[in-house]
Amino acid sequence: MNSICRAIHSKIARILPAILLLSLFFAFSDASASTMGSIFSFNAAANGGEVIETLDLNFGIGQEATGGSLSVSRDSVYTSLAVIVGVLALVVVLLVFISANLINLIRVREGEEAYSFGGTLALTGRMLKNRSVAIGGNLVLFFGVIVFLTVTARGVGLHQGYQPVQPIKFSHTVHAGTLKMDCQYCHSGASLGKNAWIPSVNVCMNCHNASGVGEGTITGTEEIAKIREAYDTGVPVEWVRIHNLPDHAYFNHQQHVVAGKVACQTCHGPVETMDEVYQFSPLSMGWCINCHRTTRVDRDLYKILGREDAATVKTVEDIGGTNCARCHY
Amino acid sequence: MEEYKRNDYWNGLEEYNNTPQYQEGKSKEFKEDLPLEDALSEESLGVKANRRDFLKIFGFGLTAAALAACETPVKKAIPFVVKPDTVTPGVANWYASTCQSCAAGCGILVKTREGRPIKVEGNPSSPFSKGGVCATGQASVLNLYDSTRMQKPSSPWADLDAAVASAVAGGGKVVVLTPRINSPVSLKIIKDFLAQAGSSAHVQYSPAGIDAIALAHQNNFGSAVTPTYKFQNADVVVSFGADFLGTWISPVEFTKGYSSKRKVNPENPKMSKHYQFESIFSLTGSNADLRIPVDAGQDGAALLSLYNLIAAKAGQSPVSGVNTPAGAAEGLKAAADSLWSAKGHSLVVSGSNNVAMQEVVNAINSLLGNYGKTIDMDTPSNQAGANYGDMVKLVSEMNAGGVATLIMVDVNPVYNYHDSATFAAGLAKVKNVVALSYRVDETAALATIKAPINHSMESWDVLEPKKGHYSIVQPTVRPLFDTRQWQESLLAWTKDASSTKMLDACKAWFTSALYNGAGSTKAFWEKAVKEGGYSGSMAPMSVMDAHEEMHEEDAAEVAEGNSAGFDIAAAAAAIGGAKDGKAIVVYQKVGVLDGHHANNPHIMELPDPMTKVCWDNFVTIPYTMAKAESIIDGDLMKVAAGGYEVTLPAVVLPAQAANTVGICVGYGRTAGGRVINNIGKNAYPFAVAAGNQRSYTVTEGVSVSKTGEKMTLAKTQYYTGYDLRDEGGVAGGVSGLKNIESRIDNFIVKDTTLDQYKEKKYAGNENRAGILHENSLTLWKTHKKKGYHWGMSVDLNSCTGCSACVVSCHTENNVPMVGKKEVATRRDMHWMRIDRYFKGNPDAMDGSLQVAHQPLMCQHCDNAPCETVCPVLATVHSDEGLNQQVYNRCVGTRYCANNCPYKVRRFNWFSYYSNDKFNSDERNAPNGHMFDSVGSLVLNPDVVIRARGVMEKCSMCVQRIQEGKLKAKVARKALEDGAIKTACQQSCPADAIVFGDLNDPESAISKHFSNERFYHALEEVKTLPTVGYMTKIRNNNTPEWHKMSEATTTNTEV
Repeated sequence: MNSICRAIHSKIARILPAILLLSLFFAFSDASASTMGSIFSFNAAANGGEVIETLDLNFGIGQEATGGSLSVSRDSVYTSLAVIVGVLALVVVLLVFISANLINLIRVREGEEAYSFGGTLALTGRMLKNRSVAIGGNLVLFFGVIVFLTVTARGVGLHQGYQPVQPIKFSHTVHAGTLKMDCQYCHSGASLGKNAWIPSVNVCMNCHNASGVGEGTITGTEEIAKIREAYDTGVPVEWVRIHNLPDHAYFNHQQHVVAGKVACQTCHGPVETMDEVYQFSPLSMGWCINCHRTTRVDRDLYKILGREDAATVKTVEDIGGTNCARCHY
Repeated sequence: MEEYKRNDYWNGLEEYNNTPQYQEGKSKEFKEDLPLEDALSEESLGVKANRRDFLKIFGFGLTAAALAACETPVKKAIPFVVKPDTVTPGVANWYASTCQSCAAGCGILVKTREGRPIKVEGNPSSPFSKGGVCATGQASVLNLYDSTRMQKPSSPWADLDAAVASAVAGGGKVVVLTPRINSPVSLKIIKDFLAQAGSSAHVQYSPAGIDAIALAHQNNFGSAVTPTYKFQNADVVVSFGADFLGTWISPVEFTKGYSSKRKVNPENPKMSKHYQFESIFSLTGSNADLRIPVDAGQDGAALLSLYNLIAAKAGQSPVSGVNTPAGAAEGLKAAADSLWSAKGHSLVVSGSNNVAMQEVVNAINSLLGNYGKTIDMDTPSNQAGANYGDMVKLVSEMNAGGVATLIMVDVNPVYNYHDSATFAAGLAKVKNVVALSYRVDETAALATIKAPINHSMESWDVLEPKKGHYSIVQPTVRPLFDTRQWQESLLAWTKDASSTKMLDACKAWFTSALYNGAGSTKAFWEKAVKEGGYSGSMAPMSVMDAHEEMHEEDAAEVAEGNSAGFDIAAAAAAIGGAKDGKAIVVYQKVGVLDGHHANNPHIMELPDPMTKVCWDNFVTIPYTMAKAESIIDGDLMKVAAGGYEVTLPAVVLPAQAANTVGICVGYGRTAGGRVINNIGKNAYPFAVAAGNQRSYTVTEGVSVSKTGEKMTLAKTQYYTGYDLRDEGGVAGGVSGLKNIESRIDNFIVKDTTLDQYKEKKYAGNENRAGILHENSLTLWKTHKKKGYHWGMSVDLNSCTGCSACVVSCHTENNVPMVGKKEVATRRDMHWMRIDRYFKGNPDAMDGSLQVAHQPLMCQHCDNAPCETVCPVLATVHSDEGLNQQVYNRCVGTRYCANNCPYKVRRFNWFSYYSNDKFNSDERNAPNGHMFDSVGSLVLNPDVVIRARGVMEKCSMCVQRIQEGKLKAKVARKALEDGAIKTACQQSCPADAIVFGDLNDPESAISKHFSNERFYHALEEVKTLPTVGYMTKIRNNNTPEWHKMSEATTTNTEV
């Protein structure tokens, strides 16, 4: 019994600092994320949501702040995970203290000197001065920082969830959802070329003309009046662009919609349920490539095109969809 | 010194003479010392900072960068209010139009994106240019976006119109001075406008035109026409100084015709034979099978000698007293024999603007029976230029005070008239001077009323470049500024004009003069606009008739004094004897032409095809003169004649006629725009009027002397040398194999003669089999190309070196222009270059010196040396055989450029679009268009602008490949061969470039790849390129006298 307890004790004593360190790290990262998130969501709220520039930093919490209808995002899952890990770490610390007390009881019963808190601390201090522990701790810290920075850096320039305020409260839920209008009725460029187009006002006026729909079921007349005003005055509507690709990436809608027969929702998400549109996909290169690696191609098309291995190609990658110069030139 | 073999190619005189500088430089990647100290001096960097400032700036920069990275700029997406049906955002619209960069009037297609023109391409349905456009035409789209244009009239349009109306009503003679007008509509408008003035005249003025041909035909045949020369029917071409492939009359049309006769059919090998007798080294001369240098003072004698030789064969009496130029006798004899054996399908042309000379040319062609066969007088050309005598008369009339109102349309006589002081003096005596001008140039600055005109891409017009062939100019964009098409200004100034819109005038004229009764007039007009032109029914009065009508008086005079026919004795007397002294030839340079459109960085940075000099004009010095007076490139020379002198840097050219120097026009501007201002010297004053013609040669009183000073020239030829014959060069690197004969003899340009080719199809390419055999072993994995495998082939036989492809590539791919200083530092960004090589003795005057032009772009090697050395995988191979350059991965180590045997990779040393150096007047704003909001509209939105610190290179127009593939996918049809054309290929007037899918055995490119003439550049280093070349075949079966001189020639050492 004695020897077992000793073994347990010495093991716990050794890993104790590491556990402490880890729990501290988790606690801090959790706190920092939520603090920063709340700071930015406060900013956004204070400025009436006009500082759209900063929204990308709010780790998903701004989603609720600006009144998005989606309640659970990937970011909030991460946040709850971090909270759970923090709680578990706390439980571990408690258990360590409990077992340490039990060990002390045994020691006292066996007539040995009990460990004091100060003694443990001194031991920990000695251990921290130990060369290998110091190196190990630094390494953990170093890689932790690297992982943290990598994750953060990979997110720079990505604006998943970006949901700017638009000049007209246009609801895709009404048009694409309830009325089941085809996406390409308005975004007719998608099948013609590179750009999908935001419809010109004359397209809106096909339905919302003087004798047509003048009153909406949800937002009322005010927003439709804006279209009519634009049409009458000739001053175009200045929409805020949501999906922005960097200049060095070439994207062609026709390639995906017509040649690849990809549904709009694959990249743009459930637009028919979005009252206000947000960026559903990260639009990162990794996301593009992953899709190219998994999406099946139409073999018949490649037979027609005379591809040598048309009978065996499976994914877009097999037809060269991961070549650099497919998108970068 | 290593002894040179006679058939060795060399890329310039420095290499030929193996100068110490050349030897020193060839061991280095950058052969000249880089002016690093200059570049890194405080002055050059433009900062004066101490350590604290540096730290402050550094800290601020770091913080700013960190902050900027977090910020998402809000981008607006603003759709049309009402989208026009014809505009599809993201999809290009093409408009058929006509190029107005010179008088040739080539049919073009203008690519517009979102309503702005971004690229000019040839219109394949154009009856003459057949899909080709020259370098100047390719660059013309940038002239449209020239923000230094005159942007608004000197007073509001209404006031200006009233001022002109009162000037015209004020009495006195009204003269409209225009360039050569090819448009029947415009002629009618001018006529109607002038009809309201009591006394009036329309004078046309071409500063570098050729009007002697028409007058010679007037004298010989009774009608003043410049005929259409059909090079496509000519088996033997003899040219006396006519640069018909580069600048003469209609170079694209002539290149099409000429190159169609230079393509060798393996089944039935034959090609045309081309003799060139010229004083300077022209692009055309460099393509000749036999080029004999003849001094400018002796070209008349040479021409008359040829006449005598032909006359002797035809049984006609020769002209007496002709001293055949000594060096040219054998060549002329050979030319005469060839011509006589090709009677009826040969062609003699002369670049001279001397009527007597052109009469002799006509006589020779007439004796050879070429009229009606290779010379078409029934389809007269309006492309040659106006009568210079009219201008001379006008200037004297102005000086006599005989002109009250002068309306100048897009002309600049203060700059390019031979006696600009007299013109300016005359202008001062004209009461009302109106300038309808594209910019406030040297002449417009002196006008009291300045009205800005449109670019041709903002204008309507109907041109008649040749009788019966109408080509439509249609606008591709709304006027960018507050400008008005000059015809509309004249219409506004015409009292009873039915409409002031040029479109109405064009439509009315077109449908009334040409309508053939089929379909509605509207449909007739619209079809012509869509197709870019119309050939068929003839207007009752062609442009030619209208011009003749203008010269009725002159014609009557001529008719009285000289009935039609040939009077060779009189012509010979007019030509006079040969002149021995030094001579100047004033010529037009490829790209710059007469200088009218030269305020354009794409033109200024285009290396001259022969000298490879960018940005400057220079005086070309014959090698013999250079040797005698020890002149080297860059020596400042003082050239003087007729009381005018210029100081220009020398460029030495081999086998240029011993006593002739050449200076090109178009430079020496003071108000030509920020790109061209203060570059070079004006050569126009040398070209004085001789009688009624402008003479482009000066043969008397010429002095050429060294000043002792020097000037740096931005010359691209030596930047990228290969040195195959020495160790340390590319082939030297493949050690152990260099003893094999095939490797030693392998040169990047391979050539042969037609006779040898007839004997064996792989002549000139004999060593390829051996190289392929040696290359059959490999350690590398081969790339699999299961879809497409793109390949390109360049037929060196067809390529004339005209450089249209270079400019086409630059405009298509947003290639930055870097300016003279950077080019001189070898930092030119040309994705594509044309290397020019000489072969033979540089002082040989017997025609044995030969030239080869070789376009070089990324060779897209399968075993790419660049790919293996890139540490960050920024250059990788695609599964379609392309060598891809990924700019965002590139960290700028430049290992790839170092390892590229072809030297086709270009490194971005600066942010050319934002570094003020490239927008400074001091450097002539080489890349200024990328800085201003107007100029940047010219950029191709499908090609990214590369940032500083990355490598870039030819992508084989991957954007066009992707577009073509997508079209096929959407149509669900196999990609047709030829459906995708690269920019260089599309613009090539000689159809020398073939591009396509090597996986398709039936494609044109596959056939090229299996041709016996096909080879890859530097094949022995086994880079396995997918770009290849076809051997150059020369139709010169080494003449007897060459063999003699070969035996006697020893290699010269200087």
